[in-house]
Amino acid sequence: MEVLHGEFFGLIGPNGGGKSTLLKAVLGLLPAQKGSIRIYGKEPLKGRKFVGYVPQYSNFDKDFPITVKNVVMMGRRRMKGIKPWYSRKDQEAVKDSLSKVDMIDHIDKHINALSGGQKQRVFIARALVTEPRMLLLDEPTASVDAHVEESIYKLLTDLNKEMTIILVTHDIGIISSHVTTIACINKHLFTNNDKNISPEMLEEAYQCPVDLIAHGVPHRVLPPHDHGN
Amino acid sequence: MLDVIEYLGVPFIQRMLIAGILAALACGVIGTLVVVRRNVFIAGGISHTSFGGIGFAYYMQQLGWSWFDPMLGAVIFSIGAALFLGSEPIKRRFREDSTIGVIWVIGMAMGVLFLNFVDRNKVNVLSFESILFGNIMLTSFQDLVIMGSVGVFIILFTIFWFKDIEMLAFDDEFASISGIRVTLLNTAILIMIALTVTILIKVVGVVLVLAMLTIPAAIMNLFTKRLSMMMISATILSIILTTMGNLLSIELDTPPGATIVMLMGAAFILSLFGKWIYTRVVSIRAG
Repeated sequence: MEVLHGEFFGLIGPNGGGKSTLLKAVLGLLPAQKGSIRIYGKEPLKGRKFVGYVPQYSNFDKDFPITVKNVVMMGRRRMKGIKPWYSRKDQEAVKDSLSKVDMIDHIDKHINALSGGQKQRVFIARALVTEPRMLLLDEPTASVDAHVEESIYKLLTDLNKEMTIILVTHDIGIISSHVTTIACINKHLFTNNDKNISPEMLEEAYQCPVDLIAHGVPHRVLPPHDHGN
Repeated sequence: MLDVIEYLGVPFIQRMLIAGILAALACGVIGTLVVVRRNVFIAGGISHTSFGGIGFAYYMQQLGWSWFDPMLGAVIFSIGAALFLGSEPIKRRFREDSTIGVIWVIGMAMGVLFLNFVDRNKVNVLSFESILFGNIMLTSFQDLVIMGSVGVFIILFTIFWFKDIEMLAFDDEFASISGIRVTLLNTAILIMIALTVTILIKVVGVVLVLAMLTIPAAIMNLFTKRLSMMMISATILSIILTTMGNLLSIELDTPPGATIVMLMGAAFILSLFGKWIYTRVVSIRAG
């Protein structure tokens, strides 16, 4: 499978289907057991500097004493190296990327004073501050409500003008209207290199017939059509 | 109050107060890490294992190595426990709380057995009570020098690596992706916890170490939004509570270790209550 520069790529699959394992392998946290991974032609350990990774914010300890600014600042660690302080340039980069995700007003707040969608934006800002060529997002809209979800997709669509976006989710319904390419993973990878999921792909990936209508938002899964809103 | 001023002229009381302050320095900084990294029971395992080391040191003294200080035995055993708990194969293969439980009890049992074989007529052994619950009154000048150097080392290390330590504690995956040597830094932090435990044993003893590591940091966690502020304020709070506890124990003629811990416990309950009131007031004001 290949993701081309500039794509908005959706990878879907059921829980336990190997999504996180694949993510970890791309980030060089786990070795690929079979096959190989190249990021802009480089091994994961070298190529991951091109990747801005956005994990699920719900994984974090909500009582951890840290401000929005310090979370985003983490993204500059690679540029900073081992010296103990961050430069003015790092500070500016943090402000810039918080502005990009529309969170600059919250810079000095405790991370847990924010809503789910706002936290998600902060973690996107942390990825942006690494000056990536692509963003890799793990379930970016898990546990946020529908209009927040829509605004995050709008942000990602904007960012897609500058960089490749790959997002991973178990939610089949929501992504198809935004992405340019889609693939399914469940131990194996299924793709037909366009933005439509075929019922066959889903059946292969989910190991049982998936009823697209039963999902509640079938129009987003099926081939192109106008959104009424 | 006059009494207290009189006491301050007594050398062993001066040493006791200085020991409390030095211990508080390290415990504010490392206690914060222990709390935010959820290492409280790792620290408990380390401190109880060091009881074995103290027993071992006395046993070696009996065998003729009279230079083998109990603090040295404690340091060897606690660093050993830290490295054991932090090693990748152990972490991968066993449940963390089980391993902690195992080394915890083995350490205690070894201490009891070693001390059983020590002839108290030949070797000058501290009582079980002062090993387990503290013997800050017996602090020597040499102890103060050791505690001070360990404290300075820990603070300098933490200042220099602060950003990496913060990132590792918050998000180890991102730390690893960003080029931090996660295993190395984790090991360094565990060794600092072990060193801190060793100097705290002097003040509150093996069993009560957890109180000094946990309570001031847990209190300040309620009121701070930055890790650096949590460390600084927890350090200040530990200094205040330890000093007050020491003075109170002189005044009331109670064991200092337990007095300090009770004072900290009371402060914790008060601050939970204070936080609850504060949150209520803020939410009422917000409507």
